[in-house]
Amino acid sequence: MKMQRKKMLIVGLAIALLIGIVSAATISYFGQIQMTANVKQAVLLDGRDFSQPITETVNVTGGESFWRLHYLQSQTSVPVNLLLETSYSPPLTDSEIITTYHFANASTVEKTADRLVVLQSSSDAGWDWNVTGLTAHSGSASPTNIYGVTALGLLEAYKLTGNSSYLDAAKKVADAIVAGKSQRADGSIRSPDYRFLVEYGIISGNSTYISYARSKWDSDCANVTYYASPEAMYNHLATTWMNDTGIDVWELSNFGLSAFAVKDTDWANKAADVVASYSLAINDSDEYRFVGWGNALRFLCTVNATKYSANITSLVTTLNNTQLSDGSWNSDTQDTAYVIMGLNAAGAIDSAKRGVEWLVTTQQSNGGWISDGSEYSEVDSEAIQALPIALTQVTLLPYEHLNFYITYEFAVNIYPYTYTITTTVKPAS
Amino acid sequence: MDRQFVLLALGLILTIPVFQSPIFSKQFRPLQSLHVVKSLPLNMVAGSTYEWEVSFVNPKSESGLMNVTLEVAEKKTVVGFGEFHVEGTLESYDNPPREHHTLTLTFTETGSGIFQSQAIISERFNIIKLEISSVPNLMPGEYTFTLTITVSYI
Repeated sequence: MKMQRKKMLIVGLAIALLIGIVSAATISYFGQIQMTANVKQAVLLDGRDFSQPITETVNVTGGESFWRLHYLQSQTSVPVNLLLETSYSPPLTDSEIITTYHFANASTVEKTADRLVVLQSSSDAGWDWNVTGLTAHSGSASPTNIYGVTALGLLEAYKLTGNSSYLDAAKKVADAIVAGKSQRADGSIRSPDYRFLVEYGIISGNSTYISYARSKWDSDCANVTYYASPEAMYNHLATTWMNDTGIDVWELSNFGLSAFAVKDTDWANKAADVVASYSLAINDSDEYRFVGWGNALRFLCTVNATKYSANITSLVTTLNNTQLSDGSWNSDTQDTAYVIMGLNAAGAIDSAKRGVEWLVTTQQSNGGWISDGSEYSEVDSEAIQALPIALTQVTLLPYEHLNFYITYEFAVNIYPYTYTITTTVKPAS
Repeated sequence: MDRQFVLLALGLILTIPVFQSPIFSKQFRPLQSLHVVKSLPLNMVAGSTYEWEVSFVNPKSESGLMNVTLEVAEKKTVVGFGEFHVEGTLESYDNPPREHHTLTLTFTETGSGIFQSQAIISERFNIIKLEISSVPNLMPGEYTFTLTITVSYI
């Protein structure tokens, strides 16, 4: 027994010795290098990283709407998914503020807007209807029905680029409308003209044009028979203008959007009921079905997306189902533009983005678009109005510079206060 | 019986401080010729990839276990797990005829901002090439990169 214990002790000590010897026999070499680097954020908003957010204070009394131009700059070699955030102090709820981020390819918009500026008449501030092959205005009297709709594209271009030449060109149009250049024989102005004047007034900061638009709308409603009600307007369009439900719905939606812009909410709400009803009657035999569906969708989303949610869902489904594999609708620029505007308003971003891609790829080298073999100034403008897509997340390509603008729409019943707006951008994880 | 076991245990325990004494303990010696071949830029951008190269000479010109550790730290913020990504290559040249060998170093993040890789080296001259990238939403700041190389032989 004693012998076993001794053996155990000897074996134990031998193991310990072996461990020690092996340990002692291990030779290790060690080296360390250290360096410090400033790591910058991958994406800058207006030249700043997210530790320095964009802030501003605004006095709000209720019902204000304004926009701000910003840009994103990628500094990195990989695509970055970005998330935009805006906060308000004091905090505001979704029912008190609508914040929308509008993204578009600025160079595509600029090419068209530059062309519209070049093609604008120096005498009557309008455009030729057919501008195929033109490099300047023809000198003929400009058609009276495309002032506002064409100039809306200039405003979109100005919001996205800040190029003052577009605003200057839009001012000439606003002055021409106020001077009566776009009037019909009955004295009324064209459906998009009211909305254009309001938007120009907001963007330029000159409320005179907003006041004019409102008073002109009121006087036209009082003096022109078919302005009396949206039903009267629709009947007038269907009987005296074009017997195509699509284009009649499109035009009534234009009037509705203008009524909404001049804050005639009663007329706008009634028009929405009519548009909601007739948009269901648009069918495949209507030549202008796509502009009708697209503009109706935009108008219903603008007036009351909750009330018309069933119509909106139905329209989105119809438009998604009729989109061609190339991203267009009917392979037509104007059809595609109005559908994009509708889907964008409804938040159906995926199909809208595919439509935008088709517009970008079909833009001509001069900045215009060809429809049925010809280029039309109105359609060029409608195409660039459709390009900005409302996104909260965007993918920025390596080293890309991307302009975008934010629109802020404060509710009418908001608590009057000086609010601080803070905007940040964060790469989404 | 119990007393014998206690003595054995005490004996084993006593070997630990003995072999930890300077005479027996593992000694780190400076790694020969460790120097930077390509430095990281002083200003980096999150999301992009940067190269860092260091070279060293295999001190014993025989097989040894190489441990590479890259630790990333920042003064004001905590480096999160998965915020950096490290890829590496070991390029080696043996003694004449100086054949070129390459080996991919796989880095594992063992802690937040701490990356480790192991490999057996046997050739004389060695270059470690690191490709360091970060997620695009990395908090901007002044980051310190510490590269530690240990080579052990038995």
